[in-house]
Amino acid sequence: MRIRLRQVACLTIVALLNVAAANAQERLAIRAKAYLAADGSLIEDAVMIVNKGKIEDIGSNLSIPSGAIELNRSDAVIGPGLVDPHVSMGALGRTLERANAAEPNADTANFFNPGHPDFGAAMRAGVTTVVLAPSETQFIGGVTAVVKTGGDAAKRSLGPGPVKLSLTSSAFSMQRTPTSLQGALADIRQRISAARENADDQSAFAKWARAEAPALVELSDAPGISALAEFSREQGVRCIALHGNRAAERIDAAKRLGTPFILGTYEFSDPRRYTRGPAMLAEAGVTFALTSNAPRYAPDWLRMGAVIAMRQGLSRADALRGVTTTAAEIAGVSDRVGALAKGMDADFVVYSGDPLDLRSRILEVFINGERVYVADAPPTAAEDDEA
Amino acid sequence: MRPLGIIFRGGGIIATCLGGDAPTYEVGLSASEGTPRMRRSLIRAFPVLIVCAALAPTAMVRAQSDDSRPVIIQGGTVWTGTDRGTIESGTVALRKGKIWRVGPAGRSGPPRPGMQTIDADGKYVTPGLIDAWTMLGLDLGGAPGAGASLSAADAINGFATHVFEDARRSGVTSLCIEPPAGGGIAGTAAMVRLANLNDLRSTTTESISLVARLGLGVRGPIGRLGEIKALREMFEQAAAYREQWDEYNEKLEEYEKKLKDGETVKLKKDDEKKEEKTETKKPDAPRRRSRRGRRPRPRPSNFSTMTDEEVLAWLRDSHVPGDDDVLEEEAHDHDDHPTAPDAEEPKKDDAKKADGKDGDKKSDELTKPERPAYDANSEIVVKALKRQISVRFEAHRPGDIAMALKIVNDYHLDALIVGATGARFTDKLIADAEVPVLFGQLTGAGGFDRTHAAQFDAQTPAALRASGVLDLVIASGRMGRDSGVQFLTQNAAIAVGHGLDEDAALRAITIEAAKVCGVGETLGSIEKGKLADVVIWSGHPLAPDTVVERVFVGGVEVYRRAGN
Repeated sequence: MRIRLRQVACLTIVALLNVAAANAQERLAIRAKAYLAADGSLIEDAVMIVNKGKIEDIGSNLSIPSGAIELNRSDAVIGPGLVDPHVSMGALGRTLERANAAEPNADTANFFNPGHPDFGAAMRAGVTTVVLAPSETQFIGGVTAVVKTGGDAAKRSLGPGPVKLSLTSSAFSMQRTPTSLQGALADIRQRISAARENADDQSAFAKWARAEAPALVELSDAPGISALAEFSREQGVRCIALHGNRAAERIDAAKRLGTPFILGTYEFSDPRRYTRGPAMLAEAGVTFALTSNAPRYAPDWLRMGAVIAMRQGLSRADALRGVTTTAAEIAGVSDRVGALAKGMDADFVVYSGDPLDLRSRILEVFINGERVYVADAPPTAAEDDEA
Repeated sequence: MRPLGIIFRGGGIIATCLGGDAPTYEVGLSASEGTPRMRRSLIRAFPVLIVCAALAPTAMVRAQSDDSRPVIIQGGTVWTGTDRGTIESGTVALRKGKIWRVGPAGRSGPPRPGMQTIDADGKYVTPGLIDAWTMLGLDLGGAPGAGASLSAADAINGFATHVFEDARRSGVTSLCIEPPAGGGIAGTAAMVRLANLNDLRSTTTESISLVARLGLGVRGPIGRLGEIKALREMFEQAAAYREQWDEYNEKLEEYEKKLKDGETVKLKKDDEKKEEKTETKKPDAPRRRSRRGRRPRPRPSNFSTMTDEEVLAWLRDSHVPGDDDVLEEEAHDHDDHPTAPDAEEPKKDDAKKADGKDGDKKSDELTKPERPAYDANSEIVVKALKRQISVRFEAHRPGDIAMALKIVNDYHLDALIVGATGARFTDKLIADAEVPVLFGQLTGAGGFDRTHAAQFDAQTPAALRASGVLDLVIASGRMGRDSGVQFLTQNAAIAVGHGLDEDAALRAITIEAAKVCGVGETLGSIEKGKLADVVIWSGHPLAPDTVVERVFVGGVEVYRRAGN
């Protein structure tokens, strides 16, 4: 009897805790040493109010509304969840259609595997939103999918992103058409005119053909940027060039394109002439987002790519934009993710210091106001504890 | 004062300044080539020329002292890399290529003439960084199964000055360059101090370390076993070689001593004859090198149509199954083909018999000992066995690391584990063995390298340190011929972001790196008497927006940021 009473008491406590957790879901106030504003500056004495998974308010020394659960992170700095505009997490090798080069109606969302460990790795690297894209071996790969890397399963899909084309050499083979860049461009021209004649076609490709939406176009070399700039001008379509690591070699063409670039993956094995690229493009007024191409590279390369570019002269603001807002714009979700601002999704990362410093450790990750990752304590020696 | 020589020749005047290491200067022009009027004017101008010639060396002396005059770096935050830790607002004085003084600012008094004073207020001063694992500037492709005698120093492209300039402007003043990619015994690494880029050879120390790579370039467990076997064979062979030479040297010493003690002229003559014989045999010696890596392989029929990658893959693959056969083959080689000294044997016996007829027993003892064959590979491995050079085991999987540690223990080597991506599973083993660990890139490569990425974690350095592995080195890793080195600081920053303390991370790219490269006594920290390789940074070296302001190598400024 006594045991049963104890059990009841335990259950009651658990239930009360659940209520508290539910309340936390309702309204949460996070205090931190600082938060990273969209312009790359650190705003001291940050307070962020989260309500129903959205940022209700954020600022310096805000008063905390009564009834809000307070989280004190006064040693930490809050940064926005990072956005990666081109990944194939959980879908590597699955989006390859060997017989047909062009699959404009293929939907990458079909390959979204929410439980795949690739997403966990991204989350731990501070990446909260990604654009799942089809393989570069498809000349027209189909529509991309914008998803969150964790949190409430019902809220993870943010809808379709832009259509993706690939003009890399790996998209062309002798077994199927097109077999060359010329053939591919001729094929696209035909498809564009067909889509323009049929106004009922609401596919992502048709919308791009009618210049209602941009497309991601993967390229493998610098001359491809010039070719793409010419093609976009001729057809009046918007193309976001992907993997333009060497875009700095064709800055004029990059400017003519008039769309943001997706650069990367920048890593330690890149020579200086590549990693200087982002700084040179920023100087020329070309906007860009960075990518990790995870899981081909670790998702950590997103934040590191930004820092590598900073080491070569890129400003803090441009580096931050490159891994948040510009990527969100490309994905078409800039009204929801990419910045810590009123009304945005409460996707944020708690760092031990400046988010743009690799010495800072990722301590916690929140998606839609829900804590999805907590780092283990860093390894310390037993002797250190005693001392 | 330099000796000054003035030489008259053929009516012309050539004033030549001679002296020291200064280049020879010629002043004036040969008057015999000019008109008579010109000659007259030259003769009239003779005193002026004399004065010019006398002044020229003085000017040169002054120009030289500009390079070697003391440099005082004042007011910066000095991270010394020693027990003194960080000196807030410190002074570092460089003189005659060495660090002259280190201490708090303000003690050195007002700057004296002839000193160059640099205001480093608000800046950081650190020792020149050392990238202890790189392939920067290598010119040649891989040489699979190259053997111990391959030297990375031979593959450094002396013309690639731009990549070395990149290194210096990233604050890196010394590099340990490993031989090109390839599994197994890859050759020896070279230490390069980036002083004069037009003459890197003069600051290159070759063969500082023997490089053995485990689990790279072979597939499957059978290949792995063969690899370990080959490694053990190499050490055993070298140990035997060492013994052979020690024995020879001992005998030779004995022989020479006896010879000196005064023997008959006749016996000496006999010996001289023998010496001539051995001398004529000398050209044979190089042929007797180990045949490892040169063994015959079945040649594929479509060789000419294969692409470079296919040929490389075939070369790599053909190493795997044949290891055992080859070793036997090698053993046979030595038996089947009697080598030069062996061939000499019967003749010596004849000589002995001839001596025996004379009834002189001493002549037996006075046979000159046979010189063992020279083996370039074993020469290097013997140095490793004697702990004169270190052995770098590149090992990633925990099993490979454990195996490397076993070999280190068996042969009592001065070793370090390089790469070590799976090291957190063998932390206790490494700590017990007291073997330093050198990390390359601290971020998982991603999808194509799942086996490594799954085991790897940027927390590994911090975890190892917590387990008592104190000698941690961080390098850029073998990235490429023209990249990687500029991110050395950021690689260290990642380790800090994953729990390593900042001081340990800075030590890992300076003094600890110097120690594993065998230059811990002369480089790697700001300490009186060490070589003056010093970097001035705009802020903390590991911060993302810090830039290198000035770099000194041997007290000479080799890089200065524009606008400084």
